[in-house]
Amino acid sequence: MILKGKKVKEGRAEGEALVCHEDFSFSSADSKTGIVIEKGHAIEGQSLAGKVLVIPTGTGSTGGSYSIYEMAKIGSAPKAILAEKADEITATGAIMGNIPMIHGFDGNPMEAIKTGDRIELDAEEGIVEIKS
Amino acid sequence: MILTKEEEGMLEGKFGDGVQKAMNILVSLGEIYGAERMAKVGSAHLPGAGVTSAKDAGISFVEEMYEGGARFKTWTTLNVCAVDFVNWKKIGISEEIVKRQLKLTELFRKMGAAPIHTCTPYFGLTQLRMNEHVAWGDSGALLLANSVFGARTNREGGPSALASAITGRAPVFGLHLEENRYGNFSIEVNTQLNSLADFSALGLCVGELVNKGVPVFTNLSTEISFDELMALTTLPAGGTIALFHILGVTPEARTSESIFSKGKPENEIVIGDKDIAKTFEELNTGNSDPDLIVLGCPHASIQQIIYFSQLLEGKKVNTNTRLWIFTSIAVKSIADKIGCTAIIEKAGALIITDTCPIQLTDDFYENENIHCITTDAASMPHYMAGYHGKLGLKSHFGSAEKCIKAAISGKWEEA
Repeated sequence: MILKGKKVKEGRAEGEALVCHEDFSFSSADSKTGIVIEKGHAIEGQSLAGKVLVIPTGTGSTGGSYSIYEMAKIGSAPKAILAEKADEITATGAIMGNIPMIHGFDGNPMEAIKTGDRIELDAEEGIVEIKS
Repeated sequence: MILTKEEEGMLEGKFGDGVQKAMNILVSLGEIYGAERMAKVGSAHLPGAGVTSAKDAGISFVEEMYEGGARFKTWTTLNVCAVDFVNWKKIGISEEIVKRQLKLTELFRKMGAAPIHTCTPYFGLTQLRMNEHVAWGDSGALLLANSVFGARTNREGGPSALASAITGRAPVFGLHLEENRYGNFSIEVNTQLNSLADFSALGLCVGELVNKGVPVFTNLSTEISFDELMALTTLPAGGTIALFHILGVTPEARTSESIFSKGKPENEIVIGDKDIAKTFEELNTGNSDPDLIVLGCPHASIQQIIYFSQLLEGKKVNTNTRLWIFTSIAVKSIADKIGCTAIIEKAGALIITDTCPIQLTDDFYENENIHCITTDAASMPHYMAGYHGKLGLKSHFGSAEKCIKAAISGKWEEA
């Protein structure tokens, strides 16, 4: 299945999807490991590292852009970020961290993608392929 | 985007690497969000000014910008950092963090900012006017800039606020545009709001119910105080809220016809006693004596400090606990002058500047053996759970009066 969206940050990636159905705050993750440490979080205990993170939008502290940038430098960041609507904090973090990011899809990525799905994407074209 | 000749020059590197990098970030954001042009900003407020928020990557980024010749082109203030430069040793902040923070603060100072860190730059540092384009970070500060002052800013992250500070520009999209500033939720409050803690709880509760949008409070008293408006900075702790209106109070909300884009709200929320009671309950997870009591989130106004000093005069903070009042050094200098600081310190409490509990490290809390945060700010437990999730801190929440009573008795009295 193919989804078409708009580029936030160009780049190609493929990896395993990690879907979070709540608006996501990057400050809820430990930047050293990429693991979501916030108690009671919808994806508590999951690691963002190397995943294709799928979120409705980003939220939380305005320090979030630096959190993402730090994770990108350490290697604990998601491989790519797919959002229904990119918020400025997350978009800035993706730009800084060179993380391919797409938003504004023709369909709803939250419904189309499940955690564990294999994803291939080209953010310049805004194309996301769900392989399984 | 249509750029001016000067802005094109910035993008082409005519003003150095740092400016080019900064303009690149802003143009990228502008293109994502369909901005037609850049606006000149009257001020910038930088989140991630503390070493714990910026982290190594952020610190390197600021260094890179500085080395690339970037200097602040607009009036720029710094958000809270990891350190109280005067009292750090007294409260147990590590020398290593102080050294790192001094380096970062010095970079900002050389770029043109005053080396003062606060989430309340509107006290003594920056004046805002209605419709002024600014680039502010810190969820609470930008909320008030938009809502109470009628200025225009998006929710700026560290790098984008820094880019705006360096270029003096922000891409015109989102809340820079009037069409995005209308209210879409009406909030009717049918409960008594007696203390600032009640307003603080109201903000968190409404933020959670709205989740995303522009709430309009329709029946709050038009005699609401500035401190009460500040207490509503808990809205973005509950949801993604960058702008709120209060009918007859905030500058853009003169009438309900004019503030809702269709003349009426898309959603209606009514807040009653039960909602506020539930919020209080959720914030009171602590079951031990208060070990750290914090007031001044956001950084306390001088009016609040005067009130705290009245409650503390002639009293003593219990030796089993700590009472810290957070504020900006600008406000503290007023507190010093009028004698409040002396009263507060005589009682055994501390006025802490430039930092906040969120910016302190996990190590700090572990070394100091702190298990619970006692506060009158409804957003504090939420942010602590995110930033300091590993610690599993509990919380006590109540009015400043109750917090100060607890500081004196060493016990948290259940209502």
